Amino acid sequence: MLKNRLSVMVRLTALVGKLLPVLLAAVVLGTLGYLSASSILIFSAHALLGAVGSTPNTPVGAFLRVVILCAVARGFLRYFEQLAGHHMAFKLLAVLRDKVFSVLRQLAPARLEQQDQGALISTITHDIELLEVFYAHTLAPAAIALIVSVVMVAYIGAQHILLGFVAALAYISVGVVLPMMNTRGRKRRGDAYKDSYGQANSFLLESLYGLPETLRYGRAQSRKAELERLSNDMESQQLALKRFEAKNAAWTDTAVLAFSGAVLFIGLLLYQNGTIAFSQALVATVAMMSAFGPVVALSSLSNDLTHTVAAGERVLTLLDTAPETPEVQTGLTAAYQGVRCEDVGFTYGSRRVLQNINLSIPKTGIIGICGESGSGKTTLLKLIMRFWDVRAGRILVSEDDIRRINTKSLREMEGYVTQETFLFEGTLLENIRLSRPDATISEVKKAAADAGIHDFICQLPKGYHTHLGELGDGLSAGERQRIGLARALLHGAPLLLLDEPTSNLDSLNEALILKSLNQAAGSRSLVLISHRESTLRAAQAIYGMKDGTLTTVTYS
Amino acid sequence: MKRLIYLALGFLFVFLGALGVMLPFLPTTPFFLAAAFCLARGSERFHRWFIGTKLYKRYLGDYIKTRAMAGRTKAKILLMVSALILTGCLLTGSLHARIAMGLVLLGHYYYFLFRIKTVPSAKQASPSKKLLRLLRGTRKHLVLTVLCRWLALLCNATLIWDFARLLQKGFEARLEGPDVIHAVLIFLPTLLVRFLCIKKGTELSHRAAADVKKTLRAEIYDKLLHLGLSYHDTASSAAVVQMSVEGVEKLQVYISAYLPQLYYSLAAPVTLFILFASVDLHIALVLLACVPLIPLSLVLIRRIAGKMMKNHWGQYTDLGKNFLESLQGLTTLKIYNADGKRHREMNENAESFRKVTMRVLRMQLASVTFMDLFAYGATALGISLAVSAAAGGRISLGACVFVLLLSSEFFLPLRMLGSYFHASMSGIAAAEQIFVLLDSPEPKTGIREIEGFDIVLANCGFAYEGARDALKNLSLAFPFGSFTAVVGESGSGKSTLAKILAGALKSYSGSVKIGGTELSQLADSSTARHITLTEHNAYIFKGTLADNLALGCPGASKQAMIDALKKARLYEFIQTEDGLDTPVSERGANLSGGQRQRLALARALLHNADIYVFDEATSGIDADNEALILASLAELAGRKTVILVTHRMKLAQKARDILVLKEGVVMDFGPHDTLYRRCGYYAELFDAQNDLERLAETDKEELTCLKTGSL
Repeated sequence: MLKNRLSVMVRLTALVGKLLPVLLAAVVLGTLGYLSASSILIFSAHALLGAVGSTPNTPVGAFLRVVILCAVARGFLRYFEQLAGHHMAFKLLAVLRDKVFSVLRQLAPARLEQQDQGALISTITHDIELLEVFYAHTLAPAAIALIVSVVMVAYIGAQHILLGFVAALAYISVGVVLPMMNTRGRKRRGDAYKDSYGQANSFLLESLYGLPETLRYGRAQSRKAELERLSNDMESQQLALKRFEAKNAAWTDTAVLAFSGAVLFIGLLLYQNGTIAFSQALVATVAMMSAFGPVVALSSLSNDLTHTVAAGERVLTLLDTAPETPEVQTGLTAAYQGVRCEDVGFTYGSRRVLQNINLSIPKTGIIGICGESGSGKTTLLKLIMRFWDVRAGRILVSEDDIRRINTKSLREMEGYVTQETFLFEGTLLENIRLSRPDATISEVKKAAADAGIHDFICQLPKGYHTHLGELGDGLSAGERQRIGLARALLHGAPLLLLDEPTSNLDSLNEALILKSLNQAAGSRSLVLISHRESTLRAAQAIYGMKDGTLTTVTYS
Repeated sequence: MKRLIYLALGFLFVFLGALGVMLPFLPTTPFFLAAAFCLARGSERFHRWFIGTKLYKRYLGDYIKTRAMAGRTKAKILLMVSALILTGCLLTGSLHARIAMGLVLLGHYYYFLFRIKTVPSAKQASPSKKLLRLLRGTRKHLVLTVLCRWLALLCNATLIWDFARLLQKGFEARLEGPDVIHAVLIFLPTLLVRFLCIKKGTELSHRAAADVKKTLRAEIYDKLLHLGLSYHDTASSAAVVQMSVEGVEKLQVYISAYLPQLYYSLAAPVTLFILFASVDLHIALVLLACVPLIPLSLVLIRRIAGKMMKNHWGQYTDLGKNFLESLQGLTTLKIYNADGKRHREMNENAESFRKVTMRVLRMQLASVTFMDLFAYGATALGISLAVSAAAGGRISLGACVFVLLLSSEFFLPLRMLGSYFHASMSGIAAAEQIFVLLDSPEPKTGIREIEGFDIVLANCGFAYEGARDALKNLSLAFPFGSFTAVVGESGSGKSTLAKILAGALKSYSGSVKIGGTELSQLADSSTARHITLTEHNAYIFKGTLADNLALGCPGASKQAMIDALKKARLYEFIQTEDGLDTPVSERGANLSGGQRQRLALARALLHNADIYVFDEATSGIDADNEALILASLAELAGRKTVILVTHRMKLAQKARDILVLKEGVVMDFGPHDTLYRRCGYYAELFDAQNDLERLAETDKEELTCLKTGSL
């Protein structure tokens, strides 16, 4: 376990790569900054001892000048330390995201099409942010705290070994022991708070979005009471968390003062015994009090290392994953002549999804597939898209095995309208043009008109330049669906796979779209999945699918 | 000649007044008043100049007019005068001068407290003042927080004093057992008190924040309830959500950290000044004088950086969100070979974002550095002075150690305040938005009950703010039990009419009478009871199907719910799930669009209202089910008024009457057959749609003679 942890840490540090000098610079500057802050007090103490004649040989004036110098240096050192730290943080975030995205590009769509994709994606996004915090705001401060503490322990230990021991104990307690105790209780309370925060906020969200219904059905008072209850609950959870944090802050502060007092009392005791000079006792006390800064900073960070290591491990595992369907780059580039499935079978884990599929898609015309949900319709489309490779049989595109065709060429041949249309932040134009960035405006408009969304877009104040975020309550499922269709139509691939393209449309828009699909089918082939009879009427041949096999075929 | 004398006198008094600001023993206000008088007599131009100055506007204007001043102004003047005269007292050694100054001060107090009346400040409350209004209930917590911090500071000073005294004894080689025991006896309890103060202080500050946040959330929701269905006019729902969820949370830092720190950072230097003054007045004065440098440096930096920050802050984008989006949409990107392009864009964005952020950051860091420079510089200066004083024998070693260890406390609170200030900026901005919402005017609500259900519109019109008229001069009637469809192209005002009829838009012009009573005079509860609007995007709440149905009719029996579901054609679906207990997620996200609409319809039917308005309520439902649902709605007619807004002529055809709207104006009204003959526009709309749908119809005929084969 520990070894595993260590290897994760080593590999994570290796990820810093070219930024290591920046990290080191941040550490050095930070250390110097804290040391010069401490030096203000330490040199002052020396100057004072010289001034009152306790250590007569001290150059008081020179020491005071050093004090002023340190005060000035401290500001600048801190500035550059922070600059280096933030520089690294932002660079690192970009580097990590770049790496992860590169890998996911290889893994997608196979990996991302699995059921838990949403969870995986948000975990990875969160993990990367956690790692950034680790590198930029934990690693450097920890190193700084360590170095400063070692220097101070050595300095105080030079006065007397016992004092050095107390100092070491003090830094370990404040920087390590207290934060560790802190972490344990904090996590539980933090989770409880997060839960109640999530509950209260989602309730609040619902209350706002559902305000018209709440008013219409006269439920305002009960909803308000519930909101107040959840709000109270959340605040009391937060108070519990803050109370805990307050206690920790108070403990840290008390420990700082108690250890300072300890050094003073022990120092004076040693002085009474004649073991050390008075000046040493004074200097040790002042030095002790001056250098808690970095460890206190560390304790307030109090990051849960186990979380970070776990996050690091997840990211590293992802980076190591081999793609399930590697992209073909040195294969054939074919012109589309139709698709043929021969005895295609597919298993997902141990579950058999498709079996003995024989289907040929001609160069033009519409093929319909109907069947209950879970019968394997969508999986078949994904196999034709080569998101996965078939487990049995083969798929031929233009009479060549799909596994030998260049992935890029395959994607140019095939367009695919998924059940859910994903829209990116940006304008509607950008979203439609995603499939063909060099398309002209009039081509985009033509595609939108064919998908039955042109009129809707035109009535928006900014038309095609409407930003998605401006659409207050967002687009309806039907509108999204039609944008997805417009995207695919603009793409202009000779084979178009459509997964429930009309599931959220009223019959008028459905008819409109079927009309344009019929037109499109004159020059290319369409595969249409739907459970609506009215939609399937557009197909020349309708295949029935049940439990992963094609059962019936109907020709119109 | 006379005017010249007045003018000269006026300037003399201005000069004397200005001198009074600098020198503590001269009265200032009477001089300025005299100056104002003389200048008014002397010259029009200088009079105008003088009354234009900030000084005059703020301190003299009201007084001259009304012989009264705002309480705040009085307090400010007195505070300033007291500080100046007290500083003078401390600086001078002469007893006579001190007595003279004391008399001047007494005179000031007498004059301001008893001779000048107080007027309440009539200024409009600023957002921070409104925030203070919210703090009313929890002000106690805040005062106690500051008190706790202040006590903790005193404890710290006591501890350091304890240390310093012990060191002094040691230095004098007079340290003995009892001294140490004495020191420990002070040390331990003080440590305990400080522990408690820090703990309690932090807790109390968060309690204050919690109180305010709770109040605000409740107030926002209350306000929205009062704004009622028209709250969209005031703010977009996205903005409201943003402000009540995140905005309220952002106030945490402002209330729990910034506000207490603001008062504490004023109290701390003054307290330390008094403590240090007992050691050495000069050191104390130097340190106190350096304190204002920190906020001043902040202000200066903000002036310089302000413009620059504003220019760059607009470019701020959330890259984390962008990255998440790229991952979520990766499949789409792959399908269209667009992943490489997106990757490049992502990296370019990250780089330009980094550059902009670093530029802004450098500015912010520079301001922090400036504060540090002043804070540490002043500390070093104070310490140097203390060491020099110790060298000269003016203060003892112990006293010098006291100064050495405590002087940084002069500046630390203000530095913290600076960092809290940055963190609480967004909170203040959020508070301003929240107050705009809370102070927005509420629509007038009526109190009358519905007495009948005949709807009569006379010259009814409506215009959304800043837009052209959505409805113009509508005059028609929907008698009780009628079944009317409203058709027209999008933008023709169909939905606006639906909202008006349901009482959601009250600022219509003309008249809308329901059962003889003007709609705007009806109580909201009454309209809610008797009129039900169902929109295409009706909200479905988290819970179960039964929970959502119960919204329409609390305490409805299971059978009633099932009947409603059957009418809305959702019953078959729930049989494949967990029946009425089928869980529903937020926004009904686990249901399809059509299922959500059917659930909303069932809920509306359960409500058993007398007037039903459906606004595209079946737009996501397939044609076969839609026809069946329409039949259920048609059944309602006769017993209820049914108004069906739709863009589908096929549906409208089945209604008893059809209202045709075009650009907010009634084109025609009547049954389908009549309209089809009479109204060209209607026939046009109907035929266009019919042609389109005929495609599917012809296929259907062909499908009846299909060949079925087995594979």
